Amino acid sequence: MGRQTRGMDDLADKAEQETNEALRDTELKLLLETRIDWNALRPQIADQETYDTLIAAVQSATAQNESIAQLKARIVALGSAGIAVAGKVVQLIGRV
Amino acid sequence: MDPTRVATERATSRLPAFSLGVRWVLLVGCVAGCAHVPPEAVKLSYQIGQDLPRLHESYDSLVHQRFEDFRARRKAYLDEVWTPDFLPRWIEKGRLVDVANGTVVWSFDTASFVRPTPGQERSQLLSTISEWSAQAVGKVEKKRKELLDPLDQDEKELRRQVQEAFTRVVQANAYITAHLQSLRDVEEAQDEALKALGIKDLRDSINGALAKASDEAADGLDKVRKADGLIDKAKEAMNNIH
Repeated sequence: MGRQTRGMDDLADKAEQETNEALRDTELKLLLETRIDWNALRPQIADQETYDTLIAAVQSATAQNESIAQLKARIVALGSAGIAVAGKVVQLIGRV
Repeated sequence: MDPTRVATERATSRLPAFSLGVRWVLLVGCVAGCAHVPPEAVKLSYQIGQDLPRLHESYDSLVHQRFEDFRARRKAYLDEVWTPDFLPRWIEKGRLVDVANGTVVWSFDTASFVRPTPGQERSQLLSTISEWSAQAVGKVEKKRKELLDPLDQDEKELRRQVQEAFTRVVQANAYITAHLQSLRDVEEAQDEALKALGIKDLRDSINGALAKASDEAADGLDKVRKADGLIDKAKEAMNNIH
């Protein structure tokens, strides 16, 4: 026959229940005093979607600025052909 | 002559001999790029990006400390209140005194307390005490988990949310820093282009003129507001006389 611990479990369960019952109010008070106020501590910042939308707009403007800032370097990198194209662009603007 | 036209012609007359259209494009482009972004703006934004993680560390430590305080109080309750209440009950229900006296032992076959089997008293006593202790430790550990696990989970969740919020703000700030830097790059490229055209100081002149005009406009508005106030007072005084 196998070891029977069921009976001893039941006895221990009873002792546990009696303790919990006797200390119910004390324990409830402790739990209330030692729980966090989620509304006060949770960072209530804008949601990810809002950030993503704003970041996308800024990122696009940044890319455009970087493109403008690198214009000269790109034209020089293209060599004489690039400089000729740039000249034509300036001429076109001049006709406006 | 219209003062605006005079100022425009004065500015465009300083441009090299381009056609009128090109002069306008250059001038408008310059005016559009007049807003000045000092290197300190980029540095400030970068510094904020560096300091935000430090703020996060501080905030995170405060949250952790708060939970440590809560845990300490719940552990104290377990050790000083709950366990001292539970043990006497368990000693009574588990018949520990009788077991210690050798009167009874736990029978794992019948799941009840029985008289010890002659010749096996010592081994039955040890197995009974061992099981009794395991039950006691199990109940105390169960209570410890009930009291502390929710706190551990709450701490983990709150710190995760705080981390997520700081990460979101730090990332957003990095984009702003990059954008400010791109404005600086454009400004430098414009400076270079203006220098090549021999009108390096033109933007600063336009900028200064615009700032001065804006200040004068603000001053004028103040005067108009004050005059308005005087008129109102005069009207009030006249009404009082009549």
